Formats: sequence, C-alpha cells, structure tokens
Amino acid sequence: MNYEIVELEELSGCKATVYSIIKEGDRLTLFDHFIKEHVGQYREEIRFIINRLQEMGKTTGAREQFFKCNEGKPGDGVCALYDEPDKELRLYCIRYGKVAILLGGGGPKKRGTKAWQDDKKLTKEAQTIISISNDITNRLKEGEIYWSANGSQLSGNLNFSDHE
Amino acid sequence: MNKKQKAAKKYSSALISGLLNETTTAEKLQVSTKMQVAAHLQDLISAAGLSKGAFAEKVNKNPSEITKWLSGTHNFTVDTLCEIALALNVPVAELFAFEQTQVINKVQIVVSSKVTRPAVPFGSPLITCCDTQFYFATSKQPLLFPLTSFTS
Repeated sequence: MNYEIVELEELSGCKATVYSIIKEGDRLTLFDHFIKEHVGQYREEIRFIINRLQEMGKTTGAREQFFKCNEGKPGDGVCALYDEPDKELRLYCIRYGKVAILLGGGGPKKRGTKAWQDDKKLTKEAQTIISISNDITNRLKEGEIYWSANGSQLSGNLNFSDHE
Repeated sequence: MNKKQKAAKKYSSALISGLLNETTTAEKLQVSTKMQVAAHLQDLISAAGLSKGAFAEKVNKNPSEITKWLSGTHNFTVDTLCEIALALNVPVAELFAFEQTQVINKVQIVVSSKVTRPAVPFGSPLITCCDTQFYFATSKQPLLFPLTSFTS
C-alpha cells in the first residue's frame, strides 16, 4: 500500500498532533472514510468522537486513559478510542505518548463481538493500522522519520511505498 | 510522491469541520468538561500515590468502573463526585480545579469604524475623530463581548 501521513488541521492543537493516512490516488484520509461510512447511521457518535479528539489535540493531550490499549502487537501503540458500553463505533488508532495520534478506520462492534478478530470489517481495519504502525516503527528505527525538536510532530519521509 | 518533505502536510477535512460546526456550544462544553475532569482525576489519583486498583478499593468499585470514570466519557453524578472527593481527601470543588478552556471553531471579527466631525479644529490636542470596536463571535452562539473599545 502506498500512502502518506497527513496532519489533520481541525483536530491538532498545542497538546497533541492528530494524523491520518491518505492512500495514493485517494483524496480522503482513512479517518474521513470512517466518517463517511458511518455518519448516516451513527451521526451522534461520530460527532462525539470528533469532539473528543479535538479536545485531546487542544486541551488534554492524548492521555492513555482515553484509549483502549494493546489492540495490536506488544509495544506497537495500536489502540482503540475508548467506547462506552452503550455505543457501537470503534475507531482504531496509533498513540505516540500524549503528544500524537494517528487515526485509522473502524466500524461498529456489535454486541457479542469480543475481539476484532471476530468481525471481518474490524479485522480489516485493525490489520491496516497494525501494518501502518509497523511501517512507521521501521522508519523511526532507520532514522528516516524522526520527532520534531518539540517532540510532538513526525518529520522526515512520510510517504510510504510498497516498492521499498 | 515527494520523499524529501519534512513536516507532515496539513490536511483540512470538510467532513470534520462540517460536523464540528454542527456541535452546539453546550455539547462542546460537556465534552470538554468530562474530559478535563477525567484527566484531573487521574492526576489526583496519581498524586495520592494510588494505583487504579487501590483507588477502586477505596471507593468500593470494580477497576473496570474506574476505567470508565477516567475515559473522559462518564457523566458523573454529584453523589459519585462526593465519594471520590472523600476517598482522595480533597474538597469536591478540587475535582474541578483545572484551567477551563473553550475551543472555538469559527471566529468572526467585526470591525466597525465611525468617522465623526471633530468638535474642535484639526491641530488641537483634544481632537476626537474615530470610534473603533472589535467583536469576537462564534458561529453557533455569539459571544459578543467587546475585546477592546477605544476612542482616539
């Protein structure tokens, strides 16, 4: 998958930078696709999610307590935004301390679904974000991507290609 | 795609801004307060040297209930806030002792200027010729407070 990391202007702030991914040839981010897919049925929930993310960016930072951690492999930062028991939508993301989050996609987690592996759509979305996390971790290790001087922004080569 | 760029490209989403603009000022304040109370509560628990489990025992709840309290989505009742304050040995008001911030998505600046005929001839140090006022307003509920109002 060829893609680029972009910063979401409306959600980022002085406490956390909020990123998502645009696939090559696409005009929308993964998070935009998540909104588009579910805004019809879950408008209130989507609005609540967006407002919480904006609050993290501008006021509280991306504190661990706001997420359901360890949704991916140990240490890869893959998590889901905390969802209340009576809500259905699950959003996958990668959390980099309190200062940055990268938003992926997600979907409804129906009652009775215990883990993302039990649901086709959630499996696809979780595996996508796990793979992105893996790519970013490798780039960070190689020094192609690095954190800015203030420690809150990803810098460097933020374009990813299958042919590397 | 360009491989030598440094910071990430800024992306503005019409979908996100559309939904943010739909949110009422009250809804925004509710989300903001819930999240700030949760963040502050986590800080108070840590400052008291308690783990989540130890705090759960103190308030006689399951740790999963504490996770919900700290998630920034919980709508606390006054009774619960009293129990928390007692467990942490702080006044209830302390649970709200964080810096209140309000995120404003749209700001409209209205500048009006009125030229008035000078009461005294030009050249006088007492000249009064211009009134200018600035206002900020949100898209949903105008906060029509004058930022500054001056007469020169």
